[in-house]
This record gives sequence, C-alpha cells and structure tokens, in this order.
Amino acid sequence: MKWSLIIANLRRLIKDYKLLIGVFSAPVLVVLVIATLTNQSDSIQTIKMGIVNHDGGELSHQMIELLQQDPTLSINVYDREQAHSEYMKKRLPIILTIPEGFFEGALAGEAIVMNVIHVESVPGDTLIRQMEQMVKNLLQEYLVERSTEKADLIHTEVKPIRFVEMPFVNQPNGFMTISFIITFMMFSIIFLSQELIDLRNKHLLFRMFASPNKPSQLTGSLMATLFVFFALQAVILFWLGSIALKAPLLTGNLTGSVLLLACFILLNLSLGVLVMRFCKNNSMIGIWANIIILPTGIISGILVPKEFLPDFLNQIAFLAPQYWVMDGLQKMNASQPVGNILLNMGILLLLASCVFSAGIFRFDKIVNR
Amino acid sequence: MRNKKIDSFFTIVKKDLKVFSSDLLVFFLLTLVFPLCLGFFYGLMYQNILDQEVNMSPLTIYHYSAASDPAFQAISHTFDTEAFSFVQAIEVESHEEFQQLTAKEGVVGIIFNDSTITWVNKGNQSLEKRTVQNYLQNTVREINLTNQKQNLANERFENFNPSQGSSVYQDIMRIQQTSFIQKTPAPVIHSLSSMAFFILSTFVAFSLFITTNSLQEREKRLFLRTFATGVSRITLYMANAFSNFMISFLLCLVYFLVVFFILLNNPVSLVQLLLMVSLHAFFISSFRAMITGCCRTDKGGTTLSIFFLMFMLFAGGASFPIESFGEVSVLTNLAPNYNLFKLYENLALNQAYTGLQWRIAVVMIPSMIMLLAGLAVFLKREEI
Repeated sequence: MKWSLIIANLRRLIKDYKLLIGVFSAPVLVVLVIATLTNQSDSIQTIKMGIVNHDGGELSHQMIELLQQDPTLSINVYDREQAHSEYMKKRLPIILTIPEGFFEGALAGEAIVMNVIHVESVPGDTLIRQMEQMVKNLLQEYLVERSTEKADLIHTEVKPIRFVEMPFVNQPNGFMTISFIITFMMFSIIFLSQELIDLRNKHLLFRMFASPNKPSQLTGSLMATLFVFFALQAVILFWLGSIALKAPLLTGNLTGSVLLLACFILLNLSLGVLVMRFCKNNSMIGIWANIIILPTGIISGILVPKEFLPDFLNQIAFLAPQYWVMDGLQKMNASQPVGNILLNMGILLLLASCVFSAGIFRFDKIVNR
Repeated sequence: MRNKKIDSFFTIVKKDLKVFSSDLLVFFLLTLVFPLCLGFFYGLMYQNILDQEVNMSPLTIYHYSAASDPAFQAISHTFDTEAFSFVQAIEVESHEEFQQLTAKEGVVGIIFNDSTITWVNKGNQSLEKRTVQNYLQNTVREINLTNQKQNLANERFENFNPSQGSSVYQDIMRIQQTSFIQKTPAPVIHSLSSMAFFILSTFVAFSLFITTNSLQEREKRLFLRTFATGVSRITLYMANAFSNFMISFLLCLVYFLVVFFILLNNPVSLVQLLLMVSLHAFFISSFRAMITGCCRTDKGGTTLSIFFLMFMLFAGGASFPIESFGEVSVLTNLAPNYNLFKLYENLALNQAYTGLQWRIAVVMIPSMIMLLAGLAVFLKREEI
C-alpha cells in the first residue's frame, strides 16, 4: 500500500459522482424508510386459528373474545365447510370446533369435548394447553358467578394472588434496519469491482503494473481508498438509521462494533477483487455480486427472519459472513466485552485474507486480459 | 407453388433452429438454470409460509421462588411438559442472583411470591414469551379461584355437609380434573412442497423469454432480404412462430422431465406431460409471435416482455405464494401463467383434470388472440 497511490485514487474517486450517488444516496434513502417503518417495538408472529362455533351460547362467545385478545393468535370464525376448505388450501393451520351445547353439557357434567385439528407444523400441544386452561377458567368462574355462595366467596379472607408485569421500556427492534445496512455494505463489492474493471479496460492497471508497484500495492491502495468511503457510508447509515428508528442501532460496546464493521468492510473489499477476476465487463458484476450476496443473505437470517427459515438453513447460517457480523453486533449491543467477538472478527479477517489472496492470484494475467 | 411455400417454411424453421443452437448454452443458463435457481431460493424463502410452519424458538426463563404455596412449584414443573418444550426453566437460589441474571437486556424471568407472580421481560415481545405470559396469567386466575373455594370449605369445615352445600366446590374440582379439548386426526393435505411450487411457477413465468432471435433479424432488416427471395409475410411469420413453438416445446420438455423425474422424484404421466408442454409451448410461441409482429426493435421487445413478466410475477403469483393470502383475484385467474401452473400442479399431484377445462381455455384463447394480433400488425407494418 502506498500513500501516493491512495491520495491519487481518493482525488479521482471524489470526482466520480456516480460512485458517490451509488454509495450514499440509495442506501441512505432505503435505510431511512425501513427504520421509520420499523420503529414500533412490539410486533410478534401470530398463529392463524379458525373457530367453528356450533354452541353459540354466551360462554362460547366469551371464549372467542378471550382468544381474539391473545396477541399470539389470529382468530377467525368460520362455518364447518369454510374452515375445512381453508385448512385444505393450507391457509388455516388450526381449527377449533365447539360442539352444540358444549358449555351447558360441560357444566352439567356430561362427557363432552371440543375438537382441535392442526397441522404438524404448529405448536398444537401448547395451544391446546392454553385453550384447556381458558375453558376451565370460564366454566369455574361461571359456576361461582351463578352460585348461591357467591357473596361468601367474595367476602372470603383469601388475599388473591396478583400477576405483575415488571415495567420495562422496550427499545424498537433495529434488526431489520441493521440487516439492510449490512446488505448495502455488502453491495460495495460492486463499486470496487467496477473501479478495477474500469482501470483494467482503460489499460491503466496494465500501466500501473508496469511500474515498480506490486499487485498487492495496487489493489491494496485502491482498497484503502474505498475503505474510507465505505467506512463513511457505514457511519452515515448507522447514524441516520438510529435517528429514523428513534433508538440507537449501536449501543453497549461501541469499540467492538467499530472493529467488527471494519473487518466486514475489509472482507467486502476483498470480495470486490475476487468478483473483478470473474467478470470481463461491468454488466456481469451485478450478477456475480447477487450470486454472492443473496444466498449468503438468506442463510444468514438477515434477509428472511430466522423463524421463517427451515431448520437446516439456520444450521448452516455460520457459513455466511453476514451471520458473524449480525451476531457480533448483537453481542456488542448487549454490552458484552470485545473478547466475545474475537471469533467473529477472526473469521471475517480469515475470509478476507483467503478471498483477497484468491483475487490477486496471478494478477498479471488478469491485467492483460 | 404449394410445395415452394412448404419448402420455404421449413427452410426458415431449420435456419431458426440452427441459429438458436449456436447460442444454446446461454439459453440453457438463462431460461432453464436461472429459473430453477430462483425457484429454489423462493422455495426456501417461503417454505414456512407455505407449510404454515411456526417454530417455537428456545426460551430461557430464570425463576426464583420465595413462596410457600406448593401451587407455585407446580407451575415451574409445567415447563417440563411437552406443551412447553421450548422453555428452558432455570431455578435461581437467591433474589440477588436473580437480579444479577435478569439485569441484562433480552432476559426473561419470573418471581414467585405468596401474593404475586412477577413477570420480568427485559426485551422485545415474542410468540414464546407471550405464550408463557398467557399461561401464567390464566394460572393466577385458576389459583385464586381454587384458593377462595378451598378457604370457604375450610371455614365451614365443622358444619360441612356435602349433600347440602358446596356442590359448586365439587363442580369446580370436577371441572379441574376433566379434559375438555381433544385432538382429532387431521385430514391429509395433498399439495406441492414449497420448493416444487416455485420451481414450477417461476419457470412458467420466465419461459416467456424462450425465443429465436427473429426480432434482431427484423431490426437488421434481414426480413426484407427474405421477402426478396419470394417468401410471403404469412409464411415468414408462421415459420417463426413454429420455430418458437419447437424450441419452447423442447426446452420446456427438458425442464419438466428433469424437474419431475429427477429433482422432485415425482414421476408423472408422460402423455399428459406432453400435452401440457404443448399447450405451454403454444402460449410461449404465440406471445413471441405477437412480440415479433408488434415490435420493430429488440429493445422494444425486451421492454414489452418485461412488462408481461412483471404482470406474471405479481398478478400471476409467480414470485410469491399468492394462494396463502386468501382467495385469488379475477386478475390472477385470468393470468395465463397462473392457469398453466395450476395445470402442472394438477399433473404433479396426479389429480383428475375434471373442472380444469376452463383453465385450458384461459391459456388457449389469449394465445390465439396474441398469434392473430401479431400477424395482423406484422402484415400491416411489413409491407413489401
């Protein structure tokens, strides 16, 4: 790496408005939109459930209301045919059927049950347990309510147990915004590859190569210049993302987060060199960059939430560099010491050095292509 | 004269096939491998939506008990049952240790006291946390009710007459011990896997791009030279449409043979497959014929094709599990790619073709219209 080369590259790149727009404007806009849209803290996955109510009594309606209040469930009431049809079309994973005269029968001590059918892929046992508890509470409360001993029960000496939720202000979940920032940072592969291909196609790389500079010095200087750009891009994205999210994206151990992101930028730049090796012209860069970014993004769990991915993909998430970045940032946000992300940084640096070595291997042949 | 027309027709077809075969590798990658990879990725991405999968992630809960009531002990034991298999409950010996462990962000804990159950959630809400919280809230109601009845029974113990009073207590205890919900065996759903769904639907949409390079020839005014050799406009147009039919038939057949017999390991009826592929190829060739007839430049043809592709990807549901979001719209039912996909789906599931004639018609009629519309425009624009 040579300072003269870095300064020359910096001067040239500052004048490249296409690069500046590509690196800064689009990511900033998208991150602002995503952060603004996701600054609500508590949204949870719901399970769709259909209820076929043949009972129609007061208690059955009360039960449906209680289930509708449960934020983990998305409840709809259907008739039997509709529910069956929705189930068969894989749009309704669980159906609860309340038989005719269920609550009356249950109060009278008859052997009567509600039926549940569910696909294997939902936690049926947990839901049945919850509903069982709900039905029992409803029946017992109803018995007490209509009992002649109600007044005695109210005046009984027993002090009721209270359920207390300890107050805690949840910060908005910045996962999605960080995911987008990581993805944009990874797209910087394209810019370095474009620069290198432009230099190669204009034979500037060949001329530089004819000078006493080594291949690693040439690419290293360009990488150092772009490192400055991408570091600046990361700072701006995290800063603006935090403002739009109304919560800091990087908290806890900031030093660790900065070190981790620096390693990630180095890896992206190395990937840029490797992509340049595969591409004869600029039009191919997008395809190669997507071939690298999309699959790794999917398996790392940053493009698609982990709970939506099959188990085997979650098990191979460690193969994606984005996984190590996200994992490290989460550790740092939880105020863990830098020592806990040494493995994350080590893996990113190891990947960077392997990819860079592959990228500049027999560089003279690429220069002459 | 008739023989000459037929000769010209087949000569053009032969030429088209030769030109196409020279770029076979690129076409193979773009129209077969690319949609296959895309279908694979879409399949992975939407697997849990299509399979309605809800995975309960492991949840660690620290709990500390300062209560003497054995009912609280029972609550923590509930976490060992199948219903709460996602919970890893860790008992903490002292309140100080509990405070220390739950000080970190994202941690969940429960404190049991004789008068309160305190739920500590120092993080965002999740399905797992909310499920446990619901259970605890219902349990509190249950314990309170039981305690009240128990207390009343104790107060009256000396005068207690089971035949007269406290039948409510007995009823409550009966309800407590009865099971009111029964799991019944679910009917088997015959449907395509997420991967199969997208491998089929993505290809049907992207197959629009299977074509000869006739538009480039038109742009380079090679058609005029062809006319100069005595070939009529109808012969040229129809020969080109036939070449497209042949090429798309072969590529689609290769794709579906590989998909059904190798990748999905789901052998289908060959006769039905050949008929389906013929219908599919007819649709592609009609579309390409229309593009050739209506567009003068390759760029114009690509733009129009991309517009149709977008329609198929979104309205036709080739890029997302459109059926998972409710009944499909009329627009989707009119999209030829959706209907072709439904026919292939039927084939893959070995279901009878009863009631699917209208889907065949929805593909055939627009195809005929496109073929004839393209011819009309072509005849008007390519005046000799």
